[in-house]
This record gives sequence, structure tokens and C-alpha cells, in this order.
Amino acid sequence: MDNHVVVRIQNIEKSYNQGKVKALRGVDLDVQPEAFLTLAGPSGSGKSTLLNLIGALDIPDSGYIEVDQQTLFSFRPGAAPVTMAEEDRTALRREKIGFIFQQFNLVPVLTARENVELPLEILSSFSKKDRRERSREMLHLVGLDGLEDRRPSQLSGGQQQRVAIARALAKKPAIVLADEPTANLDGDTGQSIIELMKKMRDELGTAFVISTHDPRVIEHSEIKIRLIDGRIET
Amino acid sequence: MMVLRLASRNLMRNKKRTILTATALALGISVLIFAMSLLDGMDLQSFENFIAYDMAHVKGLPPGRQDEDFPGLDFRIDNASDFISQIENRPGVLAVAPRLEMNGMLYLRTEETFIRVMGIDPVKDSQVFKTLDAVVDGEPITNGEDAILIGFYLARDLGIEVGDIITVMVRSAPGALNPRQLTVKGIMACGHPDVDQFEAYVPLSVAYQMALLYDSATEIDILLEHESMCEPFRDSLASEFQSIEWHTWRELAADFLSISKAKRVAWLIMISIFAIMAAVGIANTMMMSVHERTREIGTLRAFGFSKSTVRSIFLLEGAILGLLASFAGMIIGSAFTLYLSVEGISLKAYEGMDIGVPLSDALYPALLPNTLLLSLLFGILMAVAASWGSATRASKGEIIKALREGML
Repeated sequence: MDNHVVVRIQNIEKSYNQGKVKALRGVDLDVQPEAFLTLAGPSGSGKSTLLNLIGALDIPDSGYIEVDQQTLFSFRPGAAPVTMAEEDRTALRREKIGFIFQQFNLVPVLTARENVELPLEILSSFSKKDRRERSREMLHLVGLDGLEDRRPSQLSGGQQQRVAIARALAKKPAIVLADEPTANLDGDTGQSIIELMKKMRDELGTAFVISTHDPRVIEHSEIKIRLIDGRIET
Repeated sequence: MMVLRLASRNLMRNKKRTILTATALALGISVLIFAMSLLDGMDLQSFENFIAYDMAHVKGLPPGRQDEDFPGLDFRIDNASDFISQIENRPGVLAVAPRLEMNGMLYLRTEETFIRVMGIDPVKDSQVFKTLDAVVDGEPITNGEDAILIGFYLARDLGIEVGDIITVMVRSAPGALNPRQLTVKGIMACGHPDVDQFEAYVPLSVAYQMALLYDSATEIDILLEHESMCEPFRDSLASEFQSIEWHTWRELAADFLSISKAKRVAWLIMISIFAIMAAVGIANTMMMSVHERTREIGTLRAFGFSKSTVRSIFLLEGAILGLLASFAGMIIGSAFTLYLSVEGISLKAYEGMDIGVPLSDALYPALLPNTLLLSLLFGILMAVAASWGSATRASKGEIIKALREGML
């Protein structure tokens, strides 16, 4: 097994509505550490489904998925099927995977700092002091010094997405999954968010897998994957 | 800490809704506290009246007397002073007094009525009972005088005044009717309707002359240092003096106590309806809260928050709401109850009516620490129970659906 692969996907299939809607049809994909990868394609092409599978939010019908050397799912002919237990998938997300959402999904009753600390609160390895230091460090990295105590409603859309990026990276995950991270932002702000994600990748060495329609994001990506009708376009 | 912070801040997201829900629960809790205090006050006052004016702590009765509706003097304890002298110096005994009860008729001018004539030793009796302290007009009776003490309502209904000479006729022990003229020396109002309405007290020596008896009693009343000593003391007397039936006041008041218990259950059922209404309010608030925060729940689950942690956020939210509302309810309910425990709730409107409790003047609610503690716990537990469904729904929903569609 290649130790340098953060995500390994082999021949993944996923369908909905009792097989009537095929979202993914035999997708293979390896994501290397420090990758900056975009998943593009029209609506319904399977981008979000693939992101959900990598994020251990869903399980496929068949194939193989491995994240940070942990087998999430394996269903191969001639071998016993393996599905990671729900608690283990929860733990995997908690420790290894960061999420960035289109609508930022910050908790409105928490400040920017508390939002960044949120995923760290459920990690036993972080003391209160560690959490405080890490959140300050991350908010500094995303350029939000001085705004730590503001609530999301007191921040602009771009600033909120910066908090979300800081939150996703605070635990230093193996991979960050971003679902349309610039879709709710204006052109300039979207551009700055793309640059920020790339800068964070450079500084922290975390792999980014980004589902997007935004041509600027695709343009900045180093690996461009296009999905059409549940298959990777070659 | 984070769960607590999230839960407490979430309550402030929709302040109006939270305040309305909390107000409903607070009112429910305050009504619960008041109702419980009213029942406690009723019980405590009733128990005090039973002990102070009627039953003492332990009562010795001739066998069979208790089973009779209008027991005559055939049911009596002879040589009562022998028993009393053997009991009164025992450890834990404060006082012992004999009483001789006779059914009789009272006549004044053209008025006549049925009464219970109680022969008492004023010195001993006043050590066991508070009857002689309850004289509101005139003076208490003393040993040897041809005087009678009349209950307040009895005096009022017949127009009896202090100084009046009345005729009391009883059936003596041999069976003959024995009338006697007595001077009304005092009128008593002890707050026990039976005593104030139907009883008259004469010195024991006079009672003996009317009954044609000597050193007999229809009951021996014992006051102990503490109420908790009643049962063991009754048991020791029962084994030693088997010719007498010994009863604790609780046994004698068993009917009242069981009715009181039933009343409490009925009241609590009514209060529970209030509580259920408040719980429905909380359940609705929590349901709305989960509905509004579906995407946030999905986000937390995506970050690796376990189902139980997500559930605990909502349960804690319900618990905090319950705690705050119950605390507010405690303050409102306590203030109202304390005010009435000083002022009292007048029972004058029920004068002369049997309201099922030995009280006639005023009812004073008793605010007990247990009531406050139970109400607080009840409020919190009810709020948590009302939140349970929503909290479970929040924790069990599909993460992808919650994130994408804001639906669980």
C-alpha cells in the first residue's frame, strides 16, 4: 500500500432510489498529500456524492475507499466486504477530515475564535490552552487578527469563509473537503478565498479536494478532475 | 464546557420564544409550589389540631369503645389513676391526662342541643392538650367548681354567654338521666371545628358526679416528647396494659390521613395537567429549535460530533430552560405562598360546614424545603423529558440531508 496516498478510491459505484439513479459509475481516484484537486462537472455529475464518500458521510454500493490509510469501505469480488462502523467513521472525520461548506455553516452563537475551537473541543489531545493558541494561530493565518471575538453575523461573507477555513484546518487534518467554497462569494472575495486555501495548503501541507463550478478555482487547481454522468472524464 | 456554552447560547437565539416557554413552565411550577404548600399547610395544621385538641400522641381506650358511634359509659377504664401513675413517669412522657366523655343534652331557656361533655382534670389536661389555652371569653375551668366551658360555635348558635347558667343532662353510668345546672365560665375557640361546635368541658370531679362514677375515664391521653416515639410507646403500653386499647394519633386519624392522601393525589393530577401543557410548550420550542438548526446539526456531525454529544446539546438546552423557568417559578410561587403563610387564607366562608379538615379559622400554607427541591427537580426533569424527542431526532438524522437540504 502506498503510504503517500491520502485518499484511494477504486471502482466506486453509488446509486440512489434503489438503483434507479446512478450517481457514480466505477470511479478511481488517488489523492496525494498536499494535493490541490478540484472536482468539476455539471449538476448531478456525482461531485458531491464523491465528496461525501471521501468525507465518510456516506457509504458506496461497491468498490474501495481508503482515507489516511484507513479502509472506509471495501467490496471487491472474492473478498469479504468491509464497512467501517459508524462510530469509527465519526472518529475518522473528527481527527482526519476538515470540511468547508458553500454556506460557511458557522455556528451563529459562537464567536470566530469559538467556531475555530469547536472541532478541537472534541479532540482529547487539545487542552484549553492548546485550543486557544491554535485558534489564534489559525485566525492569524487566514488574516482575521482582531476579529476573533466577533460573531458570524458581524463578519462579511468572505470573512466568514475565512473563519470556516481556519476551522477546517485547525486540527491539521489529512485532507480538507470543500463543497463549492466560493459559490456564495463575489468575484474578488472568491479569488481571495482560493488564494487563501492554496496558501494554507502550502503552509500546512494539507490536501484539498474541492467540488466547484467556479472556473477561477478550477484554474488555480493543480489536479483537475471532471465528472460527467458519474464517471471521471478522461 | 462547549456543550454547555452551545446549549445556553442557543436558548438566547429566539429570546421571545424562550421567554414565553419559560413563563409557561414558571407559572406551572409556581402553581405546583403553592398547591403543595397549601396541602402541606392543611396537613400540618390538621395534625397539630388533632394532637393539641383531640387525640394527643397516644390514646388509651376501653376495648370496643372506638367501634361505637355513640359509646356510653359502659365502655370505660376504671381505676384510671393507677394506670396514669404507672405511665406518667416513664422516659419520653411529657404528660398524661384522663378524660371522661359523656353524650348529653344542653338546655338554655327554650334552646336545646346535643353536646359531648368532656370531664377533664384542668391541671393534667392542660399539660396534654391546649384546649384551656383557647378560651377567648371568660376563664378556664378549675378543679371542683360547678362550671362549664363551651365551644365557640356552640355558644354562638345558642346565644350562650359567660355567666349564663345552663342545664346539662347526661345518662349516668347506671343508666339514669342526670341533669345538672352549671355556670358558663368560658367560651373557647380552638380552631378545631368538632371541638368548637359540639364540645363542652367540665371539671372531672363534676363529671364523676354527673356520671355517678369515681376514678374512671373513657380515655387516657399521653403527650410524648416527640411524635416519632408514638409507635414504640404504643407497643410497649399494649404489651403491658392489655386491658386497654392503645392507639397512636395517626391510627385514630387514619380516615383523615387516607382522605388527605387521596386529595393530594387528585390535586397533583390537576397540577400535572398544567405541567403537561408547559411540557408541550417546551417540546414545541425544542422541535422548532432543531428544525431551525438542522444544517448546524449536520455540520457538527460532519466535524465528528457523536450522536450522543449532539443529543446532549439539546437535552442540556431543555435542562437549562427547565432550571431557569423552575427557578423563576420557585421565586414567584414562594413569594405568593410566604405571603399567604403569614396572612392566612380565611375559612370564615365555610363556617359551620364540614370541609373535611379539622380547621375553622384560617388556613396557612406551609412552604417546605422539600417542596422547593421537588418542584425544581420536577421542572428540570419535565423540560428534559419534553426535549428528549427533538434531541433524539437531531442526533439520528442523516448528515448529508441535513447539510444539503436542511432536513433531518
